[in-house]
Amino acid sequence: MPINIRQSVSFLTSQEATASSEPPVNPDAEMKSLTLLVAEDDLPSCNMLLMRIGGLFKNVIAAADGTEAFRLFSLHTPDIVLTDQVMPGLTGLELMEKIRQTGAKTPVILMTCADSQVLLEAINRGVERFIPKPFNSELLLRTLNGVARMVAKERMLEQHREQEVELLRYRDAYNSMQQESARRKERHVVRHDLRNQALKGRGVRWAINVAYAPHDIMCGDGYSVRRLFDGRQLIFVVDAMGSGMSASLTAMLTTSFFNYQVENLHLWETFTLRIFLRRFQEYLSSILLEDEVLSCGFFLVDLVREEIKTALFALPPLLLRSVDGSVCKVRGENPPLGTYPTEIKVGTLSLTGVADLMIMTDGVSDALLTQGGSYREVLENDFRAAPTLKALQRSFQAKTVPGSLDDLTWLHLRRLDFPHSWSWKGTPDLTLAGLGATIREFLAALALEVSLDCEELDGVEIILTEALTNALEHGCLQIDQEKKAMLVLSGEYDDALAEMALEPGAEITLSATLQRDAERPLLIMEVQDSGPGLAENALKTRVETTAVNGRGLKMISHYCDSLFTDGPNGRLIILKTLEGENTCRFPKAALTN
Amino acid sequence: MQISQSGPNELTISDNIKSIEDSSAIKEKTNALIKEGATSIMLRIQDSFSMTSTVIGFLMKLVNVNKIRVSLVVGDERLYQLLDELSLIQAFNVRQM
Repeated sequence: MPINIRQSVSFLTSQEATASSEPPVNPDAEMKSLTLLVAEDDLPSCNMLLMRIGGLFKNVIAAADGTEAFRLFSLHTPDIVLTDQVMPGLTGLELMEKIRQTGAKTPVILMTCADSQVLLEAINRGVERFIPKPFNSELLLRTLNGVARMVAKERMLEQHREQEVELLRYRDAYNSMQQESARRKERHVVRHDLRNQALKGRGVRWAINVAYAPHDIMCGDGYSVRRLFDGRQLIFVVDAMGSGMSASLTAMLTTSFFNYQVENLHLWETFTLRIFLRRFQEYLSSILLEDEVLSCGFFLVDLVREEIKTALFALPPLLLRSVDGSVCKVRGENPPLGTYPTEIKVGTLSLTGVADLMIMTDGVSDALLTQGGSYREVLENDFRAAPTLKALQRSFQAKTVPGSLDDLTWLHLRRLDFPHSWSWKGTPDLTLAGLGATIREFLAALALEVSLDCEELDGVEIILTEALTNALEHGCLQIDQEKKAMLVLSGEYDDALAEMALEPGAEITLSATLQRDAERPLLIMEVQDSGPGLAENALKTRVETTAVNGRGLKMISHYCDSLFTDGPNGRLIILKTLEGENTCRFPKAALTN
Repeated sequence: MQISQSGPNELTISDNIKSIEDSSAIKEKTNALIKEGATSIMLRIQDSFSMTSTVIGFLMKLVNVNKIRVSLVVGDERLYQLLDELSLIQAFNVRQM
């Protein structure tokens, strides 16, 4: 019959134990922080044990049999288990087995007679220590002390591990925060005053696209595209030596200084590129280390005079394409800039008859090809085929090893008006059906001119669907974002579009040209409406996930290569490289309608 | 683009969603299901790689104003990526075929 000692001495606290008549012991401090579970079915032995060790632990829990011991273990998760082997319910080894099944690694000390079979089994099952019965008090204390030390040590290690993980988490969060701040600052320093804007030249329009892909958050490349007080453009592209923080600091400092100079140009008595460069060189000598150099390029663009003054310092050769499709490389005039004064050569490039100009940092030309070698080996050919920056980037991505090892900066100056071989113009009726009809007419005409696969044609259609709907809503009906949201939410949008009065003089024109200066044809579509034009920040505005409108321009951007606005009325200029080689599957019915 | 009813609350769309007419057809068919009492709509978009902003706006309105549960099953990875780019995967319960 089991002895119910749990009720009387299930917990013996240190105070209770100290009050016992047994002589005092000198336990290790570790024991004072631990809980011990004692499983012993023999009441006198159990009481004896509790007298000897009760005060040494923070808590002692006693059980009168194996089953009770396991229940108390599950309830209190003690730090050490001291168990008799022979007990009703569960034996000591069976108790340990059940404890291990819960995943707990709690050390188990087995009290047993010197039965070699039991000892062998206990060793095999991983019993921590043995106490021979009848037990010797000193051996018992020594054993408990040893195991308590081990538990305390393990606990300390675990605590250290947790602290280290916590520290790593903190450092990670801190670093992420720092990196995010750095990225924000970097984005603030690099500038593009002319993003998505068509620029007026001598009878033709131009546009500047930039692709900036830092390898690390802190990037060794930098750029700035600025509109000058006199209408010209000044462009800076920098690739600082080395990598990491040092290169990034140089790139950001020089880009910042460039911007600072540009913003104060109106205070200069005379502005020339040479003076600008001399001041830049003076500044550079104060921030570069003696063994550092800087690859960079300065481009003073005068679209009215159709020329660019260049100062190139060890940038990869520029690629320049004429409207007849011929491509030439323009090599730099100067070695990289260092801390020492050097004579700077400034060159002049004529833009007359030029279709586009590509400027890159060496991350592009040095990128590894998947087939071996570097991208510079195929760059010129790819440029020959690709009329836009996005098309060239697609070729780059298809041919190079993924995950570039360097920062990539591309800057593309493109002419938008050409002596073209094919053009189309239409003025739709200002209804949704009218817009749809004009789009179909245009697609039919385009399909007769160039071989396209159905997907490409659909891509063009979705761009025009978005652009023409946008022109009707915002340009001709003057429905602003807020009003459109209201109409969509109330379910009145379609009716409103059909019923609303058009603004006086409302008109939409869709025109398009096909440029063949590159090997792949470039479709330039222009949608003009009589409205006031897009707000300056329309292409930058972030659309809330739950918004019911405002995604039209984003959709156009998604499906086209690049997108520019040109005032004063609403005018969207949309560029799309036509890649398809297959015969058009445009429905015959649509061609004849 | 073709659109047809393929279940009590389900529409199946084949070919690309690209034109003003496509947007109108999707809105019309979906509204018809809702008029019949549907509180959830499943659009099975078999092979379109695109979707117009008009359709997106219309579906957003169904979800947020009419409290209709909208689910999209898309077959083309590019459409899934577009919806992901626009952060619409959750709102439209988008799954890939």
